[in-house]
Amino acid sequence: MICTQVLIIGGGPGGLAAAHGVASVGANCLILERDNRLGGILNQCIHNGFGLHRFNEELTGPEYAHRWIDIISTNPHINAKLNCFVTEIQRTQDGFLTTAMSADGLLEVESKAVILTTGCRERAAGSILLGGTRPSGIYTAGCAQKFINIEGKSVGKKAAILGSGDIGLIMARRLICEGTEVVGIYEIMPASGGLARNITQCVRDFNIPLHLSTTVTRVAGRDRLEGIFVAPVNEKLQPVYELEKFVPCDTLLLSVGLLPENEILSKFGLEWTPATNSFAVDEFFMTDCEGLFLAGNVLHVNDLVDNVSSEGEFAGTSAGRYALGELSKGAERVEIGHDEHIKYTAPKYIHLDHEGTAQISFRVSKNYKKVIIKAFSGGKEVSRKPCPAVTAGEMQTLIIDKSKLIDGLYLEVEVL
Amino acid sequence: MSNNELQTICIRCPIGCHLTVKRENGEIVVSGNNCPRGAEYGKQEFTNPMRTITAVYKLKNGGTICVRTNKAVEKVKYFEILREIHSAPEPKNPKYGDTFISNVYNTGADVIITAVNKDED
Repeated sequence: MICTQVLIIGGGPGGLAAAHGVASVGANCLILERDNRLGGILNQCIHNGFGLHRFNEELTGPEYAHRWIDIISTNPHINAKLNCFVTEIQRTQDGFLTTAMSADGLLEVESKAVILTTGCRERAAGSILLGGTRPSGIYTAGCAQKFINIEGKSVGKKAAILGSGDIGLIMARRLICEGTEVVGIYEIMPASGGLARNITQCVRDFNIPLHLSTTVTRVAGRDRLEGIFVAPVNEKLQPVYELEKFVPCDTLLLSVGLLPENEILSKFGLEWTPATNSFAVDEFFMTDCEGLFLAGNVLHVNDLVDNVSSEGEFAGTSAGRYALGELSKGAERVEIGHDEHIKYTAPKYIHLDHEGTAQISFRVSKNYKKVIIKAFSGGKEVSRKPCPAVTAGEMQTLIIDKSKLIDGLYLEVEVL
Repeated sequence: MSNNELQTICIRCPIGCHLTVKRENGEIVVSGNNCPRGAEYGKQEFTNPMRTITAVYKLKNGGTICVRTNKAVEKVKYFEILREIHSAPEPKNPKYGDTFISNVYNTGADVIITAVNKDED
């Protein structure tokens, strides 16, 4: 049995920053990581563009992880155990009992607080009802990324990519650089969900055909993939089968979305928020269960790792204070309201304790030119942020001074 | 500069202006931009786009070294630089932060090691 004040599950960007946060308030913590090293998915993201906000530099994923590991590795308040897979979290009288499988056998950890920073997993062929046979050669984009970047393996000679989110676009470039032909990227929506820089630097730089409003209807091949059938879609996103055609290829990468990996909390009976595929938290990143915190991609899918780090760090300071008995939440908790231009907010709740600040992250429901994001409480404006442009793919944040809150909090997007 | 016109999206800020860059009477003209940074970006992309190159070097006994150029290099040299990286001799004891290739393809940029992924034991 190991005892720690705060247990952090997952040693990726969220968990590393959470550990830093816990230690910064003088509490101790243990990170349990299932892989054989810290850093999480950053280790396989060898492209650059990480850390512009945090370190004012454009780093690659492994470098960004390295910076954080350097920050925490000398801190006596922080311990980490690798090759540990958590199988159960139980609420006890004065905290939590967590069970994990490790190289040394079953591991039990007692803690006052638990922070889940387990990130996301990719949606795979099974979750998009991909028709046809089940040959080899079909990978999620992140799985192919690991094979190529970490293991130095080749995934195929001629590849197609379904989905044009950032991971799909980045993998298109990686495949080309490794000598794999990319026959095309197929996107069911009328626009790519990827960042403009990735459209330029991954797709256009290499003249990769990007087929919008087009999807893969089924795959063909017995042992190895021999090709895919693609068809344009109508306004209802249904394939127009009369226009279906065959594209020969031996590899298909799926870049069709991410799902927060939070099933381990399913028996806690926490409030579920369908917009994020995860559980609701308050401004301390605490769930309905006292002492149980969520941060980073397990809470909602972020587009920048810098945001994951800042959430993790804040959740860490909250959990550290909670474990030390210094987090008082006696005040009333209210739901953060918003207008129809906003899809969701994380956190979902805020306390009227009039102390400190809260950082609210949210996404708008579509792309807008020139807007002002405003926050109201008791009919008075308490925060505002003018934006020259906001896109649905880009996370927004607003800092709220809690001393200004009167009765609740309502966010509005004024379109100019 | 094979094309006379370039259509691109400015990536200097989140507005993402749709730029058109043309050569008119020997002058490079950018339109569609809302600020001087867009004009500068458009001109650079039209005349000599620059990129930071990241790549993977495969180790003989399995695993990889991940590398990047330590500054942006000319995009036209992308594949030559990749070739030089892929055909470089395997370093004996590669470490994070080491210089893998100095002055790669005569660009003035160095290729540095960003990660070493070796199978442990």
